[in-house]
Amino acid sequence: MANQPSTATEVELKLAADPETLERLWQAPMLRGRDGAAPKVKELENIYFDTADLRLRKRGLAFRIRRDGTRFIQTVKTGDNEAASLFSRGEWEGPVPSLEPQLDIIDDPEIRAALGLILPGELRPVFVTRVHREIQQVNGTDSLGRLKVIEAAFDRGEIEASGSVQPLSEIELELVEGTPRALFDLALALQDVAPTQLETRSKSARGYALATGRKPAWHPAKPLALTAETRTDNALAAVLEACLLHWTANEAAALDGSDPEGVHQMRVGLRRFRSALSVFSELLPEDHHRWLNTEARWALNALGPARDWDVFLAELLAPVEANRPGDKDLAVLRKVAEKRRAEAYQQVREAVSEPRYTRFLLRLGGWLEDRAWHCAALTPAQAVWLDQPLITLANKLLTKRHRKTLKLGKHFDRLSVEKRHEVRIAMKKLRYTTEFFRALYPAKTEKPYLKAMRGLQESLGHLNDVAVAETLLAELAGPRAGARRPAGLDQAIGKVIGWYAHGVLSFEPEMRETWRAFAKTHPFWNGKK
Amino acid sequence: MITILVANPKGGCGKTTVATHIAAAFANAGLRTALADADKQGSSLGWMKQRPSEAGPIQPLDWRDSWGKPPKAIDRLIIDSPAAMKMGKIDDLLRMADVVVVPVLPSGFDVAATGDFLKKLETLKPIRKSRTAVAVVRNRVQLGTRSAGRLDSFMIGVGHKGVGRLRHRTIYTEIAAQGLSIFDLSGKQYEDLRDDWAPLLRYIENSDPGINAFAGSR
Repeated sequence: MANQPSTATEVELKLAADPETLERLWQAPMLRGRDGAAPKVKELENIYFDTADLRLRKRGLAFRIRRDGTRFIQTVKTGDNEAASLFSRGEWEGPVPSLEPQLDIIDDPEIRAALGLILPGELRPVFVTRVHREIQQVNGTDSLGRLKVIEAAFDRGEIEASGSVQPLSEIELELVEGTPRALFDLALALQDVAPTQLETRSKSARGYALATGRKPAWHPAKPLALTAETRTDNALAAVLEACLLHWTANEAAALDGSDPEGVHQMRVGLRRFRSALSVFSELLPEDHHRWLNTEARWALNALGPARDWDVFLAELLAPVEANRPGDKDLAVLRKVAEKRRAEAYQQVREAVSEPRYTRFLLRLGGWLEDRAWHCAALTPAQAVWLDQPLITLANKLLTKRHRKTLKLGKHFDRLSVEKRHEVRIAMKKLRYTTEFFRALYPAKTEKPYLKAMRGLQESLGHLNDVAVAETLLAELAGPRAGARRPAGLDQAIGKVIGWYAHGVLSFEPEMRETWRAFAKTHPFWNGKK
Repeated sequence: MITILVANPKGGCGKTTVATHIAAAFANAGLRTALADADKQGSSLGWMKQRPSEAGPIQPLDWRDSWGKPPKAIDRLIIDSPAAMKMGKIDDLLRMADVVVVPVLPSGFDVAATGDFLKKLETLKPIRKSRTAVAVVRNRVQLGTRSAGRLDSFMIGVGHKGVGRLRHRTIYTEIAAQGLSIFDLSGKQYEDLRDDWAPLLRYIENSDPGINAFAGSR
């Protein structure tokens, strides 16, 4: 395989589980090929190289030399980054005589360009993985009867970097032949034997984390390249995939929990996913839509409390504290709230390790790869819509959501808090819709509208601050808190709620003003005024 | 792609030496490299004309009269900017650049002119907004001399640490006429000199806009 230098795109899925689970899965009937071929066993040692300033890592590359018996194979992987892609990575490989990196033999100009300039002697080992690998080849057909060949590699071993060692135990499913859907189908079938988790980090990402001691980074959403002419079907696939990548890229940071941005970004990805579903809802078979929406809502809700307590501590409690330095009641509240936050993060970790979450990712991945919405349940009208250029759908939806917001906000000055919450939610949906479609229109024409929308959203946000504070604090004072509530907690709760309730009053003129400004702004998708 | 603008309004500070050497270092590393000459004197173009075919290929771009679009499928674009460049003119080139390399000589006169230039650079938008990095590189340094020390204190004075120093050697002028750089010479004795360039080259590599795209968290 690696006797000639070559570049290829790898399609693979990785499942993490403890060694006992791996043992059980190794016996799984779906991993036994029909011909009953004996599994291959390999002892692999991979040495990963980088420059002292870790430029290769920063460029999303992994450079390694693998010792496989007496052979040495040098491999450069591109897109080796949480945010790049979950399931496929570019790869160049070729044989080398020793453990010394050989840049000259890399004949692919794109890979050379990706590596950039590397000075003589600049590459040095950063970490090592040692793996006992057992490979079972799976031949057969996928759920739609198409031929598939998958290599299932069971890896047990360790990662070593700067003196620390971490155990490694995972299954790599690599597609040799067939459609990517087959990988997801196999992974799902394995879930029935024993639960595993989708491993979104590559071995190199884990090695770098160990070598640098850095906490997992959070990732912003990648911009989408949609145009007015993009077929709606392609846009649907691209948008949903981008959301999936965005939230899974932030999984590690969310689980780590040391930066609130992790859970936040993961939620942003999931929420965008849900709003994309609502944007495309009429174009999808009903049961598909329901399934996706239910699962995404479940995941989003599991992350909700962690985000709420993060916001409460940093954005709601902190300003009150800043104005009442030394307040003992508030100190009591902070302590209780921090405990709740810790519990909420525990809930995040539990949800992500639940089989339900892994199944959701695997089913969704297969569904996207196959564009499985094109099925018997798709109506002819939906098929026609999917074939239209995106701009048609964008104009229609933007108009609909804009009108709905205006209707709900009619007589804004006289609306109750509850009614204004409805305006806020309609507004939020409108904002997500504009976010999805804004690339389709000239940026200049959008500016005033987006500005007015942002202004209104911000002022309505104060309403939400109070609502969140009230809900969270009611929970602290609620039946769960029991009779042994610490002294001063009730007082602190009163202070915080009072603070924000009054805050809303003082924002009233601003809220009215931002509504008026929004209501009279010309919608950009309707062309010139 | 990384676009590198080599600039200093003062002539004779080794702008062309720096531009051609950076280009040769990239070309020899297998990167698709272009060198645009925007200097009326055309010294970089002349150097490329002499460049032997077996040396790492560098695509010449004649930007003496006006500059065009950077070519496609290029990994590194180096621009040798005009001497005595007007600030209005540099603006265009700066907008293209990811990094500006400013060679300075140890002589007192050069230091003053460069100080003015750097101050003006700081006021330009791409640099003010930190989209473009500035690398000051000390050229033709004779270690331990008084002017070398003066240059060091100047660098601290203008708030630039400086990205390496290039020692003064006659070999640079000797090989320039053949379209060569010290990156094209195989001799061990030049290894030391090549090391002089390492901090600058690393700095350029880290100015890759692609690096920031992958950096993840902000």
